Amino acid sequence: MSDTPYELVEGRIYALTGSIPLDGTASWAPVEEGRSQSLTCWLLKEGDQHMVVDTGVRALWPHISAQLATIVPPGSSLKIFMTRPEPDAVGNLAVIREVYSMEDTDVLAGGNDTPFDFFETAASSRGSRKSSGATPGVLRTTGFDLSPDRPIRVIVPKLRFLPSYWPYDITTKTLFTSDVFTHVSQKTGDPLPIVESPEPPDADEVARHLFSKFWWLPGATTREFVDDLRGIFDRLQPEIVAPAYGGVLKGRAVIEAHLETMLEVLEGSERGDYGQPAVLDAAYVR
Amino acid sequence: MTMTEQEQAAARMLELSRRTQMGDRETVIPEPFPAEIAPGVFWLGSCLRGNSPKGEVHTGVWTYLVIGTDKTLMYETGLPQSWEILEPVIEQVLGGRALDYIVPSHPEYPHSGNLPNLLDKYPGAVAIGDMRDYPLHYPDYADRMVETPAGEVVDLGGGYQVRLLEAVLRDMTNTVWAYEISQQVLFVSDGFAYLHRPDYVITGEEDLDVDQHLPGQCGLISGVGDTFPSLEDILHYCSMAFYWSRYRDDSDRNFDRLQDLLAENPTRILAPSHGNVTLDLDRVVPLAREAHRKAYIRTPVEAKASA
Repeated sequence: MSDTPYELVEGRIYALTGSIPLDGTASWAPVEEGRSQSLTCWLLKEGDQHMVVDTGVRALWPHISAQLATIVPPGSSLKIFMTRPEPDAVGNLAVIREVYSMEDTDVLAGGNDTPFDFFETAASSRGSRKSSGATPGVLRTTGFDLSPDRPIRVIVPKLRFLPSYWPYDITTKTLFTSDVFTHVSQKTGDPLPIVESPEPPDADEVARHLFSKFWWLPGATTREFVDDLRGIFDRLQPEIVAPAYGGVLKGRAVIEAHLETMLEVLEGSERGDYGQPAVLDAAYVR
Repeated sequence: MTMTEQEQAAARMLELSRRTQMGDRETVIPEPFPAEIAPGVFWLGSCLRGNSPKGEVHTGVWTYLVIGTDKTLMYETGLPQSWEILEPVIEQVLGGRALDYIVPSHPEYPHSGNLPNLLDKYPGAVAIGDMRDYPLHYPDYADRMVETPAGEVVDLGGGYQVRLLEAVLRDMTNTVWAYEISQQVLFVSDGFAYLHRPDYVITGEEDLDVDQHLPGQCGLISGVGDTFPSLEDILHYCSMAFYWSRYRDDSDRNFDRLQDLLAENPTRILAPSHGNVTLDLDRVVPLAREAHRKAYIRTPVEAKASA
């Protein structure tokens, strides 16, 4: 894995990325022999302002930290946006705090502080040192400006597992979709896939990846998700979809093709095309 | 008898040792803890308290210790921000013994967040269960994670045996339930969860014959005295924490499966990770079945058909 970040939008968005084999290591992805999945935190840069969308899994910290340091020297100020209060999104928050200069108001998430989202609990998980006993706060926001020319707005998708918030970078038209649109894997050893061909993806492939985490979708009522996703994409017209897992979708035609397949899969879920969740029958005996 | 200033100071010190503060939210160890819910089976953890415009909201985040004659096992790890107040309670229950097995039910932080603290404190301990994801989250401890399939029984000695089980009610796919065979305790993670909602703040005008989980009842056993969750308590938590339950009309399917699991694992005590421990399964299981049924958002046509 490279210690150089991939520059997705010149001077403005960088991928801090590594990959894991699709061998059953992760519960959120299917097993695919000889293939891997990129796990990416997204670094947004505007002048001397920097923000990371998610912090990645701890196992990839050596790569993430090396890539981050090439753009943002340790000791600099840094903001973090958490899309979800899960370890794959928040796992390096504590170690980033140890290396970078961060105020309590520099850790952000969407929504409100409720008894169910546990963002503060996630933010208080320990780093490489023993817990200091201090518990950092998490600033909840519906949007913020990295600079006057770089507004970021927070989208609240209906299709979610735990509480999820998708930052939308208005200037670059980039939507960070966290754990949705994660279906583009790569041959093991290949870099982060950037999809620029508008061929529709294989629906079964989309379904396999989506249902690995969203195990409950087969047989569920999905019309709200279909309407909501269509509304989000119609409204924003994103030109880049940048998930936390899997490859990047780049270009309106590409995004439309993948969106349509995703919507077909969701509609098929409700029709019963994919049966009922196997997980309720098979548990974790694989 | 009035307390001396010294006694008051000591009581205050004890009180502070059971609280952590986090902005306007604090975590508190409920008064009854550690509670021995069956011989050798202890209930501990902390309550996360926050404020809402209507009043205080409590979320219990529980963990359980099973003390065998040879080995010890902990189900769930508790809130990471509670570690400093939780650690002495764990020590108290273990009574100088080591912790041998840790079963985090799933990788969410309220369930597994203290895994590094526990593995550091007890160097002989191993984490067991469905270990997918954990080596990615805690790579420094990957060699102390033992994939242990559902159905496997861990013998703790003295008749104490813990069987790992599939989780019938879950959010993450790799959620693990567990069953202590000798005392018939079923540990159900996010299943049967509920919290204290502000609209249940005691005003003195409630009809206490109505089942409600009221403030001050954290850490008390449901079904004993006045404390028992209402349908709304379980429904509220279920529809919020099990987001999927709003979109799946399969309460009967899941609870039929739960009944099969209970038949295979006869249960006296239900030990959830957020709701209080419950002894009255005949009452709480139908209540939870109905709550899951009501969580599903029906279209007007479905609602009419259902009625």
